[in-house]
Amino acid sequence: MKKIISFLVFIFFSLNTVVHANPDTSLIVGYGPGGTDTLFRVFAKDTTEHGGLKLTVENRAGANGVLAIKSYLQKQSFDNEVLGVTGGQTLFEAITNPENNFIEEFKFIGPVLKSPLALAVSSNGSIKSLEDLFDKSKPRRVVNIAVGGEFHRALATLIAKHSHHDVRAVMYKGGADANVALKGGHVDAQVDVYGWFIQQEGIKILGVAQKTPLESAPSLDPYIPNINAVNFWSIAVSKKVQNTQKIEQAIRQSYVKNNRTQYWNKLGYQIDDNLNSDYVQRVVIPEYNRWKKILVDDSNKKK
Amino acid sequence: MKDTLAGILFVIIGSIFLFISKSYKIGTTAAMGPGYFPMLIAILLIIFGVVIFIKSLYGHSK
Amino acid sequence: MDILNNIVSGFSVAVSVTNLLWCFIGVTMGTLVGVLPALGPLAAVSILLPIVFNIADPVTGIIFLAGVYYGTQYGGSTTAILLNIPGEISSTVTTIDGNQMARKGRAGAALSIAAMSSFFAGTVATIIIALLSQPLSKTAFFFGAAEYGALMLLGLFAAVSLNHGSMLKGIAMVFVGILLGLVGSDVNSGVVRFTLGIQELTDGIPFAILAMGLFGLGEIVYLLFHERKDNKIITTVDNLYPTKKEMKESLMPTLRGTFLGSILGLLPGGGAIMSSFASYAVEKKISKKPEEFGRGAVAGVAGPEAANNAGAQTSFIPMLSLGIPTTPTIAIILAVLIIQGIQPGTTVISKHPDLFWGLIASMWIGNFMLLLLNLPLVGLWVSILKISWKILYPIIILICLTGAYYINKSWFDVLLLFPFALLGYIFKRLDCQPASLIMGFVLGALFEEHVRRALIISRGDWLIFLNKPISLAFIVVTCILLIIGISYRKKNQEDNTKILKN
Repeated sequence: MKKIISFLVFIFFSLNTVVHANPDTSLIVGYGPGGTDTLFRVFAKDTTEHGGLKLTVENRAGANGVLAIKSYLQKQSFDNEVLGVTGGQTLFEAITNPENNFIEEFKFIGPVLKSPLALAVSSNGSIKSLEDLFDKSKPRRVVNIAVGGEFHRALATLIAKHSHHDVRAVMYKGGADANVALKGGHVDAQVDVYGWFIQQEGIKILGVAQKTPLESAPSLDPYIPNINAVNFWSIAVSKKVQNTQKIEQAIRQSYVKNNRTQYWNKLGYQIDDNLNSDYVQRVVIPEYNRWKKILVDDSNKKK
Repeated sequence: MKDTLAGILFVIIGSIFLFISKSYKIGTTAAMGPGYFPMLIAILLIIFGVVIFIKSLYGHSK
Repeated sequence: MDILNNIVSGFSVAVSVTNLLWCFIGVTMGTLVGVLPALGPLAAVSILLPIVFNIADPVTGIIFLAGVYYGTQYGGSTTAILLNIPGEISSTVTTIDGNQMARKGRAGAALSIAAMSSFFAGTVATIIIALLSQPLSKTAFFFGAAEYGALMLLGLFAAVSLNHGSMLKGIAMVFVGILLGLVGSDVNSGVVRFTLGIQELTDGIPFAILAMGLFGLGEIVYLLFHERKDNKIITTVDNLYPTKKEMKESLMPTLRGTFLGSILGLLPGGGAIMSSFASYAVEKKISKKPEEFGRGAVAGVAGPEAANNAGAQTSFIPMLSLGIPTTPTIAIILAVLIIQGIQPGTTVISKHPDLFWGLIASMWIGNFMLLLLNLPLVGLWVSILKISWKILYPIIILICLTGAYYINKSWFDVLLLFPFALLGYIFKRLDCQPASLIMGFVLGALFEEHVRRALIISRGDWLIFLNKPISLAFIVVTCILLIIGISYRKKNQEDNTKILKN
């Protein structure tokens, strides 16, 4: 009897120590494991191994990333915690739910990873080219585009606007789920980031949502003028944090030291490391306003 | 007795959810809004609650 | 033969000292964490994840994580049988007959049967993975929204049969479960539903809170108001191991459960979860003595336990061969692989044969270790039941409260336990089974998600469910089960009235 109690107590305490065994910096990620969080994990691993600062990912999934952001911003002190943010959370969550607009409360301290959104089809699907989608002489058909998040849905909405077909976005819980639907032939196309698509087999990227084409991926610009849908991932801290030198150093070191830029480029991501703490002002806020105009104001006009 | 109370409990729970789901967009079958499905289930729950309630009374009077 | 070569080389990888050691550590820690209510495979893998990154060799890391994963399945059944609290979702079904067996003094038998059928299932599933991973991996693709919708419908009907009382109340409980499952944000529209403005509920009610509240704490509240005649949960413990009769009774259910679990485990989202109670429903319908179910039927433990273990193993197939994670826990393991530089996909078997075959071989070894671990421990676990409830229940309450906090480091979660404890008490007084509610909870949101998606794709045409062959097949099976269920109930009623009259 006593044995059992001491046994249970032992388990309790050992779990306790394991859970709290991370005195170094936590990188809070607003998603569950797998998918978006993988990018941040690679990042954390790099910074730990080459940057000299131990970064551990802590998943705080919830409300499409909003829960993590809110819980981070509400803290009193920001020691030992940084936030991993994505374009989907900061831009599109803010547009769909204005009370979740946190853009002005961060500053970015890490390099920004970017990858444009892309439209892909299954290698043996019924849509083979961008003409099939946008050529007005083709007979009108039903087109279902699988999307794994709000940012993706935004691009699908744009595509719907510029195509004469009956195009609808079908929402899935993430890129992986959407991809299964695509490969199974249950949907006709999928939107996700270019960097993710080039890791997948059995699909063909029809185009990327930016003016410059990429390797084996033409630009969607001819069909959707001035298209620019680029998702981003970065490390941010609350604006209130004063001294971010140590962390910025470590992160910079991690990718300079072993030429990570090339590594990320190969994976389909670009690094924008021209970071001053005004990145938010300079880039993010204009992006937000631009998308808001496209999505919200335009649909209001229709009414 | 147990069944009577159970029936009432189900009706109460169903009604609460029904009431709240009405505040969400219902939408159409082709584009089911957030309120469509919960409303459907809540109504079914209320129906079953009523049936259980009635059955328990009927059983008693036997 | 090629496969034989591969299996042999796989064993040579798995049998290295490091890999054996980490396999053992993995399954042991998995079992320990699984025993604690509230902490299931997801929590276990997440907590133990940092350890993996300190292990240099990715193969060893995966062997460890996999061990943790299916180890928790074994542990979860222990709490389910002893304390009537499901360690995690797939052990919910085990609470029904497993706990009843415990109360009749057959706790040892229940635990042993759970361990043995899990071992059998794990072994068979490993063989299936070895032989059929390539062809089987494609299965996931056949399932689109319509197919899943129909499968969930079938699952919901299976959930109703978890009830051993009135069928009407069972159905109503499933509905309550579905409604509770809809609390939170809606995938399709992003609208947050039924949270009454509470931020913490934006992602829904955590399963563990619902389970611990309804099952564990609800039961304790009940006992507070209705004093037990005796001091212990059980007074007698018959022989610790199953009788020959019980072994015989568990054979076929184990086989069927393994088969069901192996297939359902291949399906993303809902597949592995459904396997345990699909097995229960099948056993109940096939059984010659269905009235035993809910009162300690051996088949009600053997089948589901085999099913959930088989499902846990086969869920690795889509992940390894296609990079598709079927459950959140598998998603973590997938992420770990990717970070280690291994991209799962059709090339993983050819590019990293040592990983694939080593993992498979270690799964078999791991299952064997678990059997060796758990059988002797049966005596230890059973002796927990002999503790006076005055001491045991406070411990359970403490464990539930702690577990609830650890899920999300949130006090709100702990608070949320109480309304569900109250609800659990009320349901118990009114003779309503929480198991059906839980299944409704798990499946309800999924059901809505897939049905809605199917209707978006078909632009509102309900016939999509009948037009797609797999979907049609599930609907037909559902109807057949429904008809069997109704006619069995009518027959049962006649038998019951005859018995009562006598």
